[in-house]
Amino acid sequence: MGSSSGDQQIDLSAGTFATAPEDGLIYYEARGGLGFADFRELWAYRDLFFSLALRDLQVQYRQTFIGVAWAVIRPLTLMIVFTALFRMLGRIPASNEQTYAVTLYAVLLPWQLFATTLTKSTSSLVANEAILTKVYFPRLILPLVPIAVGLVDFAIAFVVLLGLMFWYGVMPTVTILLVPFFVALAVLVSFAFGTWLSAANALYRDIQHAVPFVVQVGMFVSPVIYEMAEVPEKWRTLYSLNPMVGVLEGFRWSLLGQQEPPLTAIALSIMISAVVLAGGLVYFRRIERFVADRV
Amino acid sequence: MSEIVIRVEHLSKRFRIGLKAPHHRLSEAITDLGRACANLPGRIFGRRVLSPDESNGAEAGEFWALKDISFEVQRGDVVGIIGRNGAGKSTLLKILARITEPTSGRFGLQGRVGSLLEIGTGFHPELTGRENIFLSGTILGMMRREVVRHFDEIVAFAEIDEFLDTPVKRYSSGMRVRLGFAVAAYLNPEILIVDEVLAVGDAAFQKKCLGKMGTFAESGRTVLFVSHDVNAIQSLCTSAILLDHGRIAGNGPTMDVVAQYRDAIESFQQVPLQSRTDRSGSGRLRFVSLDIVGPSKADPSIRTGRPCSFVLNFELSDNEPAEDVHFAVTIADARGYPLITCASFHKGADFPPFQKSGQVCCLIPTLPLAPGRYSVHLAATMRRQRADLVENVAGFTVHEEDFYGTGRLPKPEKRGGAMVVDHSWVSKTGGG
Repeated sequence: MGSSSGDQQIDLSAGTFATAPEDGLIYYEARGGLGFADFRELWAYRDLFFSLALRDLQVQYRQTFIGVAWAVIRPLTLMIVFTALFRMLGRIPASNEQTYAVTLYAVLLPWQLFATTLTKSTSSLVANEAILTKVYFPRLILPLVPIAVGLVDFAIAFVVLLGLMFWYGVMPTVTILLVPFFVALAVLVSFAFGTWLSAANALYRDIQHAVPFVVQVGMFVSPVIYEMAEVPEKWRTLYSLNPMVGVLEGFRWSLLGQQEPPLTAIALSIMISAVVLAGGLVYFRRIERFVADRV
Repeated sequence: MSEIVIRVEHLSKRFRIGLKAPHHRLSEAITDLGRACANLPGRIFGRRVLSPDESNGAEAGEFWALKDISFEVQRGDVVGIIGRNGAGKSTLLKILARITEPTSGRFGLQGRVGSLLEIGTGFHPELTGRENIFLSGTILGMMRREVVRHFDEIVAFAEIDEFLDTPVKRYSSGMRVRLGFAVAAYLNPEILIVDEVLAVGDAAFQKKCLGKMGTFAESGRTVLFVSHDVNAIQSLCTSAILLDHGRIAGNGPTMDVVAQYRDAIESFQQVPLQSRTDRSGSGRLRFVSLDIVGPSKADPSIRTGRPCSFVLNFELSDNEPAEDVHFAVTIADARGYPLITCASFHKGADFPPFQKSGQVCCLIPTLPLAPGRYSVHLAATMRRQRADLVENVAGFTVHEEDFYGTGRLPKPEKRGGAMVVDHSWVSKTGGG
């Protein structure tokens, strides 16, 4: 982490006053080159993470009339609108309408988890400028906090999903046990891009204007309102390079357990987000060094 | 036994001027778009890209906020850091608090470091006092269970128990300051770094805070303390460091360093305003001279209760007409404590656009200052952004005048107030 404890990296010949290795001080200096995230330090700051997540949750629903119901209203409204629209266009047979609606609501949940988490992560460094410039803490906490908030919203909407499934008689299969895995994958994808975008946004605010728009467009190039099976066969591999394809198809499969699991898409999603995350952590580390001067 | 807890070795910090701005103005952004696109990959990756005007000279776009700073602090010391605006005090604290990295050099710290660069760090106005205690406490570096342990003491110190479940946005500014300091007071680090935060809050609370910092040091902890208030530094600090243009100009016992600083203030005022470099702001407007004049040309001396004018001359850095410009003249006492601020913005003054240069005059019809020595700070804003700020631009002496018609006036040097106001006295006892 760039700091070296007294007995490691001291060059006795360099300083004008030689530093005794046993002086017990922890030294800090400019960190050069490439670094990775310091997960041990991150863990030491877990209470700060908790406090910031609690703050964002409390603030989100304070002075609202219906409070947490907002977590449900957004996917529910989209579900109604798209179902009505597609029925009008004659794309879904009336007999299958209920299953379509429930499936759509279900897939909207991981999509919204991804979309809101990514949007908030992107602006997290800028939004927390006031504390960023006043006190030290591992800055990586900031793009992580929206994940906690997103997961709480997800959990609330998921309870409603179970209710909807029960009501419409859409029975889950045993693969529902894999839902947490796909939720984790949605978080991974959004955090992978969040590290890049939050750091870049600290330098150029253009990013935070572009992301909500790109995410909105992204919903239509991801299998949310349609399924991957409707994409022409020859395009499917290319299509699966979008890491959210694996998440959404996998989520749909684990919940409703029809057809075959979309293994290629899931594998691609894991690999792509792992690579993006690794690069993102290095990039974030680099920007973190001077973010307080530039944000 | 003395033990070193802070060791700073050849610390330097370079800032690049202009890099903070690019995302603020759309018009500038469009002008720079072509160049920006060419440089984009390098910029996004935080690499240094020289723009044409920067590459003319390495020094054009950068300045050294700190240059080769070395010092040591021993356990239990309370060290005051003084210096003019822009001398590098806050940069030094920010580096030691690890908020930003030095460009070169290094520093060693022992034990847990707490930084208090602002009162109420991390407060969220929508949250209650109780919630904010936890939030601010953990942001400042406490674990939640430590906050729980000190919760009652924090509430007692802040004197806000009735308002614990009221959102902080409904607090008075005094309550907010008290709560902010109370949280920080229980941080309990081995090294506490404090920036100019005691300037807020009422006198009684300031005293309480200074007392808290005093006992903190007595218990073997170390304090680094930046303040403009030389008196606070003198009463609290065992030693002091004087910074000037990013270098250490003095380091030693408080009394000696403070004396050196006072001499230095006098000497700044000898430097013509035009060539002063210790200024902050965008620089689109620069003060070039200041004349302080009395009632008239025939009667130029500045006297208590008589008219006094401040004539500000300034230049603009470009040929654009300058609109929405405001000026402020602050009069400070001999110790540098601000007494009066005359701001055109507060008065609702409306100036026509200025071209290239300009002159404005601030007239005080009845100067409410007791005889003595005062100094002037100047500030200008353009579109609410600071354009120029210079402290201790000039010193001036207010001479005696029979303000009350009795030949008597308060004497600031004998604990009298520095200000005079028209007032009256009547007896409210007995009689009728």
